[in-house]
Amino acid sequence: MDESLRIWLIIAAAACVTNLLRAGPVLLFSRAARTTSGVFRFLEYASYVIIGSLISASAVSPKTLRSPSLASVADSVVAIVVVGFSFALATRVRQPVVCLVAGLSLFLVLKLLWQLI
Amino acid sequence: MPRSPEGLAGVMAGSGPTSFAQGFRDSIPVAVSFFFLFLAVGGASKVAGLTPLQSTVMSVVVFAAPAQFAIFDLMARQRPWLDLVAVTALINSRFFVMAAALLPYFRGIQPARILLAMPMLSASTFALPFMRFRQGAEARPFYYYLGVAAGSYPVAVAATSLGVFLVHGLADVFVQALKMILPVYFSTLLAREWPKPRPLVAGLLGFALTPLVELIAPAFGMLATAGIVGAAFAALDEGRHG
Repeated sequence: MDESLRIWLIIAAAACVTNLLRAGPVLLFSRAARTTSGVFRFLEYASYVIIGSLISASAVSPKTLRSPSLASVADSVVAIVVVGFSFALATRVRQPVVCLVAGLSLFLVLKLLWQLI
Repeated sequence: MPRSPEGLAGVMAGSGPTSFAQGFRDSIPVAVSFFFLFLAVGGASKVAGLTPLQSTVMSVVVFAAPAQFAIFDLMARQRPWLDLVAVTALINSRFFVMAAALLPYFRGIQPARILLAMPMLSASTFALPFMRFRQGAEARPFYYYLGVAAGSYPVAVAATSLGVFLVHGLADVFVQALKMILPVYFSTLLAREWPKPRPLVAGLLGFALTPLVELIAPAFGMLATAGIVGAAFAALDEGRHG
């Protein structure tokens, strides 16, 4: 098969799968009875877990757990410290952009300090 | 302020454009992070052998950076197309939960309109509206979601196109700092639930357990953790309320 055609087919298949997953609840539940409180609570808590998972996935590399090295562990520690700092700051200062700038600044400082060590 | 979708205020005249504009403004940090994230997607797609048109179309119709990176990696290893489709489904299975979580807030909107808006659903275009809706701060949730999506989705597509031509170039520490935008921003969103313990504990469990579950069940980490912890907390709530 021509490589370009193969790539287009892969893009089409990925698009179909991804958008079916996005549309699934709309297609399945939009005509159903009002979401029960139990299901709503499940989705609510599952969503908080997903947000925590997304933070983890962005801040901690899977390689760090599978085959840790000093550099990868240091990167993960820095990321966790920065995320924790940003979270703590955000509980006091309800300004996301301020917390974002402060968090990224702390990250750059810690990375530069690590490189100096 | 009410928090459940049933408790949200009714329709307010003329607030649709206001909600859209608020969502658009609030999406600026997301748009900045998407710009650099999808620059990287564009660069990776070029390395994987996609043409600029293919790269751009992929971001338009898939719009899921983790899955796109995984697809490029598998393509480079000449894996069968079925493997690529299966991995895409696993990585993006979280979209089903996200869409289901947002759907109750879109009550009153025609399903066809919601379906048209769903291709712009991503982790960020979910997290930002969801956290705002949970605060009870939005009278027209669907328009707020559209505003967030409109502010970030075109940036992602444009950045993909640009990234194809900018494969190399950014200093490593700068790139690493930009990768921290999303986790920092999401942590500030989660902080809005302070001091309510259960949402914060749920988020913390997601943060701590997902990497461990990933070790045991690769690609299932997020969904398995969300399913188990979500069900446990929902059962606890059910027990508490009787």
